[in-house]
Amino acid sequence: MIYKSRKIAFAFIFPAVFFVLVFLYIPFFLNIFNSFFEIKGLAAKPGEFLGLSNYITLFKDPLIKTALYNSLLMMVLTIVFQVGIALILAILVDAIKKGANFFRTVFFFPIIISATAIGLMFNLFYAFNGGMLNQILGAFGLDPVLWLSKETALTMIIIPVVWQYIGFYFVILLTGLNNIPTDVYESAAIDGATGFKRVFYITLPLLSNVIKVCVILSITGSLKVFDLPWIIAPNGAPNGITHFTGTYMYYATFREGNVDYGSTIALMIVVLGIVFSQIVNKFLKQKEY
Amino acid sequence: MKFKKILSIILVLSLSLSILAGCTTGGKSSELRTVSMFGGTDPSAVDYKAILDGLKDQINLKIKDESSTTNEEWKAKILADFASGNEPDVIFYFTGSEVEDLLKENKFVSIEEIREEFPNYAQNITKNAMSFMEETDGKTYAIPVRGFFEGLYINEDLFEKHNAPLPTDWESFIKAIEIFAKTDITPIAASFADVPHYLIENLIYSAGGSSDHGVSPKTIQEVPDSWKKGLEMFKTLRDMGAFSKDVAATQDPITGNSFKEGKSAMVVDGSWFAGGVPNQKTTKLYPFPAMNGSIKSPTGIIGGFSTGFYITRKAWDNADKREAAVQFVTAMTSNEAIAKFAKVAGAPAADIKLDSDTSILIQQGVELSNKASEIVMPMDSRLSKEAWNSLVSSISGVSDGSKKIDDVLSELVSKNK
Repeated sequence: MIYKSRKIAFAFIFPAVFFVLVFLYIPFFLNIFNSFFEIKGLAAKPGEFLGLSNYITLFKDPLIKTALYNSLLMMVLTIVFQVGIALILAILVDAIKKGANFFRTVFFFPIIISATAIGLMFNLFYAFNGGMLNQILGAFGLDPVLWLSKETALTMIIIPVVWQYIGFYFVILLTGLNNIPTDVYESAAIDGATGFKRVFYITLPLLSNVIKVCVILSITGSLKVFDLPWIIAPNGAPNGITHFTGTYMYYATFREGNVDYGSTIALMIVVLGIVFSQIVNKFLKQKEY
Repeated sequence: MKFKKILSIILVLSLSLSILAGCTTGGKSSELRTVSMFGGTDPSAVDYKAILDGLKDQINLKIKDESSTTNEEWKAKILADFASGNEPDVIFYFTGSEVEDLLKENKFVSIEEIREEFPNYAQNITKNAMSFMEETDGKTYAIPVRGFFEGLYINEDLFEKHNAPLPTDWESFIKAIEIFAKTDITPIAASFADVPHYLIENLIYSAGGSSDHGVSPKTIQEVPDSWKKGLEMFKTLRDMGAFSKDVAATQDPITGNSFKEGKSAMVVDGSWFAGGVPNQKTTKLYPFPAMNGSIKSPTGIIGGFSTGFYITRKAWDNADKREAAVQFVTAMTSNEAIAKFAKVAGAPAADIKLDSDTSILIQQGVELSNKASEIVMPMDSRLSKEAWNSLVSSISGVSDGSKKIDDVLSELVSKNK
């Protein structure tokens, strides 16, 4: 006990609690409240009581189905590719003796670039007329491709989203790898375990708690992904087929001014985030070593 | 240990102070808080600042200006300020549906009320410009400085090069599209995912004229047939090859550049587009042509005045601020100020001669407005935001036939509350 009086401890904790209350919990509960009242426009006062009307609309709305499907697909792909590739890279970088710092910086670099800049960059890659990809195709005498067509747009949006955050998970996993005691590897080496055996029987089991954290982060991240998809294909372009839960919530709230419905979608995102995190918790139980 | 204690106390104090910092009330009596959309990259930001600097010596109060470029987030902040009683004293803002709720809450002072005490207030503004400012309660609140116009911008040099007829009527417009569709020039620069707004407006206006364009349907029976005809034209034009292949996904800045770089022959846009066009001499502005059989006047355009300076009730009721607020708006809406605001992006709200450095395209636009047999306000000034956005977001589907126009119009009507 550092302080004899608890009052001092409370005084120190109060500012942080105040901020969390004001900027997180109160808006969250207000958001639930807003979803039951008609609010046409930002900063408009709650109007008519709608009851569960917005929640019923949620089940009927074809765009929310598209957004949910896309977000779930994004979730699976981020777990497989983002965390997967980050894991492979982390294991490889951990195994090399020279140049580890260089790779650490290179792989982490996309994280520090703003999503807006990356989005604009990919816009220039995908542009049909004079875009980088079509210029490359043109140099080989091939016809230009419509990269953001109905068939390919979703994939073209998911690629940069997955790419940007690989570095984030890479750093978390690399830190986890650094925490594995070297004597375990040394003992295993004496027993003849090298290469893949070393990875499968020592690294992965000892890293499972860190991987679990990464999986939970990628699940919640994919549910609220917004910036890159919105910049590459605003308003779910083309034809609203590339909406994600985050972009659709923004669209409903800020573009349509349908604040009550936007609040309902926001609540759905939170609920889904909790549900999926719990599922992951259940399947990947925390292990004590 | 002692250092750590001091550090923690400093941190806690700074956090606590930042809590208190958020508890300020809007504006002191000794300062005039002003807000406008002439901030950031707005083409009039420099002129606005110059007028503001000149005003500082004339007004007794200290001017605290919080101008910014306009977007949906900025509008939300403004509305939130009004909702929390933190509104500015003077604001340059939109009229019509954007301020409907604020007017109901008596947040602004009408010009009629101001003129009872200041009879010369805004007397230099033309009757025509003021007529656009009239709200549904029959009163006017905002003083306009510049209007806007929408039209068909063309790269005339491309028309000459490809022997395409100038789009003075529907036949020549269609003929020009057919000619350009066979070349590597995009006939009409457009982005359905981002800003199809001006094409929607103009195609519907082109199909049915001002009477049909001006309705705000609440039932499907009230939707004019010309709306359907105008929307059907999206598919017809797309099938003709009028737009680039990526029209459903490309974005407004890219299509705008495509026109400015001479890669597209035409673009439908507003007066704000004119200032940024590099080839002012070879670019021409036409009224969007009327479809065959339409009653739309050939010279009619979409345009008008939709923004202006308001004095808030809060400032008016404050004896220290009333005169300063009037002085501020009077300076900002003087003939000299209007000439400055109009030269980069719109028609002047006063009967004045344009500055000699006014861009050629703006001059063309002002001439277009002067010659127009009718100037109609955009549809989004009448439709609810939700209804208008449902129409905007459906255009990609309408243009490729994946969305039925009847369904689109039914959705629009259901959201137009």
